[in-house]
Amino acid sequence: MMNPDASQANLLAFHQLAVGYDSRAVLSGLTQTVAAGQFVALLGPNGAGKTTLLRTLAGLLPPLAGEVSLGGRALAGLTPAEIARTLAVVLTERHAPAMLSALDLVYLGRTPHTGFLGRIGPQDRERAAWALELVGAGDLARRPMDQLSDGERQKVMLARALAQEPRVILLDEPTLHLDVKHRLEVMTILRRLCRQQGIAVVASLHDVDLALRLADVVGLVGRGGISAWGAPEKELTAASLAALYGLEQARFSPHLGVMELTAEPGREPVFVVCGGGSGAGLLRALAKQGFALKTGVLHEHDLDCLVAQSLGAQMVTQAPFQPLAEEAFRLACRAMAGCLAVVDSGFPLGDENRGNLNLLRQAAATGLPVLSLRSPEELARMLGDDAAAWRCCLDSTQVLDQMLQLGTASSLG
Amino acid sequence: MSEAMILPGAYFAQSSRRAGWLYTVLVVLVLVALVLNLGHGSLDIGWSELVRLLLDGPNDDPRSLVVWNIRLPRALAALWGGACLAVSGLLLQVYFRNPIVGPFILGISSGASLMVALVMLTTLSLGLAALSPYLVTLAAFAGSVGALLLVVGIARRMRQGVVLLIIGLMIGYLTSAVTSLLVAFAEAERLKGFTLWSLGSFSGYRWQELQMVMLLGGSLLVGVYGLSKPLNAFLLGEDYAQSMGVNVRTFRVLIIFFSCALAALVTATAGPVAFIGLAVPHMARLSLGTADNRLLLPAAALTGGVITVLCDLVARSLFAPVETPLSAVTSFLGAPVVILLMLKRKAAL
Amino acid sequence: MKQSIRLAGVGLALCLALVALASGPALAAAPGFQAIGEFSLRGLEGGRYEITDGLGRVLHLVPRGMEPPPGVPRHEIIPIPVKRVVMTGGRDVSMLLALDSIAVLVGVDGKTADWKIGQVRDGLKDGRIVNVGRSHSLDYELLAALKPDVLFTWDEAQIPFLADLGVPVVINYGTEARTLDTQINFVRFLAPFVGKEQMAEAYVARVKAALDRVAQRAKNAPSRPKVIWGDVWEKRVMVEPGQSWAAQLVDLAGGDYLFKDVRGSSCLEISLERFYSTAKQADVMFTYRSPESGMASKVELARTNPALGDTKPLASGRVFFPLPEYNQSGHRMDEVIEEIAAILQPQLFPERKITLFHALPEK
Repeated sequence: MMNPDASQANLLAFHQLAVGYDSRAVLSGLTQTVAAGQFVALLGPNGAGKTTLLRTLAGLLPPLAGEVSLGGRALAGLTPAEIARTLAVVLTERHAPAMLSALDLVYLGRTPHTGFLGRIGPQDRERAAWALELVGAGDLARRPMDQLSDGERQKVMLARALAQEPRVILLDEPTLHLDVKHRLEVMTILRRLCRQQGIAVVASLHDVDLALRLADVVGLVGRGGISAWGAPEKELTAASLAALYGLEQARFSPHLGVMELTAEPGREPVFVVCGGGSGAGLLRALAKQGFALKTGVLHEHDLDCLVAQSLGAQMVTQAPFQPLAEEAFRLACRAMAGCLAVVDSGFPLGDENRGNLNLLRQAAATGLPVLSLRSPEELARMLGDDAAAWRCCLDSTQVLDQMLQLGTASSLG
Repeated sequence: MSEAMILPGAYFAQSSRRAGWLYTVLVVLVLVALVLNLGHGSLDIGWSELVRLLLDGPNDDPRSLVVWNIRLPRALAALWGGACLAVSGLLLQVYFRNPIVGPFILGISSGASLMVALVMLTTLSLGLAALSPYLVTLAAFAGSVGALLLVVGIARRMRQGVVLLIIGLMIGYLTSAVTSLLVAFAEAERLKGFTLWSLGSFSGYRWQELQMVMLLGGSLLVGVYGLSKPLNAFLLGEDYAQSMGVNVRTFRVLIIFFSCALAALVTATAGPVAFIGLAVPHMARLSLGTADNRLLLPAAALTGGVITVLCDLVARSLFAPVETPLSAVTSFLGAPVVILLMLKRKAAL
Repeated sequence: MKQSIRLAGVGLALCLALVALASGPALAAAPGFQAIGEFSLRGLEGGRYEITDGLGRVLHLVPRGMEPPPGVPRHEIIPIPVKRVVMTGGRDVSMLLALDSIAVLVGVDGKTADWKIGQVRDGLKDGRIVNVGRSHSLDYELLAALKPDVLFTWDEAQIPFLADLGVPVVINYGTEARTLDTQINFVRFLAPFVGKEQMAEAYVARVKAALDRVAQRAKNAPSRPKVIWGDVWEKRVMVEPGQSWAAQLVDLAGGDYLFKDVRGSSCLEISLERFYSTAKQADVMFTYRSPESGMASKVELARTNPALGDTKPLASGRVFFPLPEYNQSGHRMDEVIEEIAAILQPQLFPERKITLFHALPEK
């Protein structure tokens, strides 16, 4: 048995660990600890060694150097059965054995606890039921494994791991090939295991946003080692991820928690006046079509500002909660000049951004086409007679159509 | 109360009940098949006479000798041989997670063939005449055990089952190559005997030999049952098995040892018998409806025994007194049955 | 294997063979068409022949210098009389001796030691005859260099390649093995190749006379010994089927062949039970297992398959095996008949020396 006094903070630890196959190290010099109840997400490009690391931590692969300890004892000194009673794994392999029900499969998880012939006793039944219930798969118990969907199967595999009554669960890409519903379900279950059962979870993930949202700790695995290990809010930055994945065409926005593809401008510039999130979709749509984005005047940390930033737009900004400054207005006017059109995202008007309305008026006055997502009624109310010069669009698709027409016209002219 | 709290064991109990039925049916079939084999043959022996001969015990009456020394050993040898081959195939199918693997995939029969070819096709046998009548059996035993030791030796070093499978196949090809060389240069008269041996048959077992087969085979089968728990863990593959507490390295050697030893035992005494080890595990699995090896192992052993005894009956009755090759009968019977069962199951999915 | 094919007879049962033999001259008298088992021969004008071989392929025998029939490919035309022949199989080669034509032989299968016929041994030694390999894997290069007029062999797989080499092939075994009748009359199939039709008739008459003589004398036998012909292997047994010529000869020569009901095209495995219960009654056993193929004595044979140890031939009867000469004794068919008779009825044929068989020693 594991030492119950083993420090909860050092449930799973590795020291100067090198992992790899056939004495060729993929990762080396790894030293970290995982505490009980902690959710660790391993991020990194394919082939970086996440799976190799997980297999080594699980004792499936001998370390090339260094040591892994489980519950305070060296993994190398434990028998497979001892390890199995403390640590369970969920691997990427989804081989579904035929002629096995979900419940049979969960019973297999009782292997380290049953006797010589593997007889299932009342306690084993209870545990298996508990595990299935915990992953919300109680209704799958009778179903044959080879008739389950990927997502259902993954939940059953998770229940099987739980039936081992482990204190640590290692998962290799648990959300791979799952649809949105099951991806969220599986991740929710994992977090629940950490919070409610005090189980330490180490999972390799390919969704950076999931890691950011759910993990207590992220480990960035790549370039032969772990480049960062800590709270995702701290470790997941545009720079760290760009380095980890070798990104050139995309940029991570830690605030938004998403990857944005950097626009590849091939068309004329367009100036978007937006704010408060009204322009995010519009900006992405224009970027996708290859228009060079200019935007302003945006308050820093405004959602539209973050999106525009991650899309690589040229921006005119000003401090939050401040009305439009003269300087910013002038910069915006200069940026607008030479644009194919100016687009009004239909942003909500407040005291701080009323200046942006003037910006649009100015644009119309200098003869630039102004496309607006506001209704004609609203425009009439806001602008009175001037509204006639503005072109109303129902949605971003119409804006795109107009822009493409303008673009053709200008290239013909 | 949630549904899951009622469920545990339900499915298991269901297949256990089904297994109970199947075992009963199979045991009855075993008895029927044995009686049929005892009562049927070139010599016309009626049922009442058969009962009398059996009750009288063995004596010097030629008819008694036919029942006691020819029919009974043959039926029991087929029963045991079929059980051993079926279990051997089941072990390898689970271990390699490959449904088309049979007991001879790792070169057991090739090894046996090579040694038998050496003693039957060369002049080597002239110096070994003292070993008769066990010469061929001993040669086959040496060959299959040689192949077994080689494969187990490799299994101890291997990390992946697939590599072992390929190496086993290659060893098979190599030994077959040597055998075919011996065949190419052999005299026609000697070749006849070797061809006969390579067809495989449960004919001609002597009691002492049968006792050895039953004792060794029985112990191996009991030993295999002891592996059923880790074998179940292997349904999910080596990695999962190890993560669930199975000492994979030891277990791999045990599986290969037991499987090859079972196949070697049969091959040494009966020659290579095709298809039983490949088809019967499927029949057992599909009729039982579970992959749980604790239920499957006895079912496979019983099914293998029944099928082999019946096939042997067909083989010697079809063109009696001419013997039809047993492997031809097993293949003719086994292949369509497997195809049928597979199709039926596919349709049910 | 070869031997068993040679010895096996599938066609006719014994009575049919006798009828056919009795009407032998009638068959020969029909000049237009002759059927010899699965083989046939049709004489045409100008000394030409149209023959069908064991596979039923039609081939043309065309006298040298005569225009070949139009539209027939070269490898289906055989110039007669043939001057260069390659032949596999000892029994057919020895038939050439009966036709006094062994000199046409330029190639055989097997090495010098395999051959008991003096002319073949000499020819192999001084290079007049070439060893073209084993019958299932002939050396095509040697064959091409030999440029034979015709090749006699059993393996049809060789036909296409040899056709490309321009070598005509005659398949000398049918889909069923030769019966006694076919075996005796096969010489008539060979005769037109070497232009020795008269000699063939003489041979047939000689063999038939021997058969008649033996059958006549065997009629007076006080008892007919029960005979089995087969091989005992470890755990398994094979026998000559009832319609094989060996079985037919045994019955003709005053014996009673006990596996008459076993049907098959060559030596084949039967159940141990049947062999045991039949062998229990047998007086004489013929077997191909010989000291040369690793079976030196009756004791050894009995030890090989202990279940048969108490059967009569092995315990107290007589066991004979054919010597290698037997396989090449086609030209001595009359002697084969007499020797088998002498083995079965020694008191009726006291003058006959046994040269083609040996008794298996007790120990």
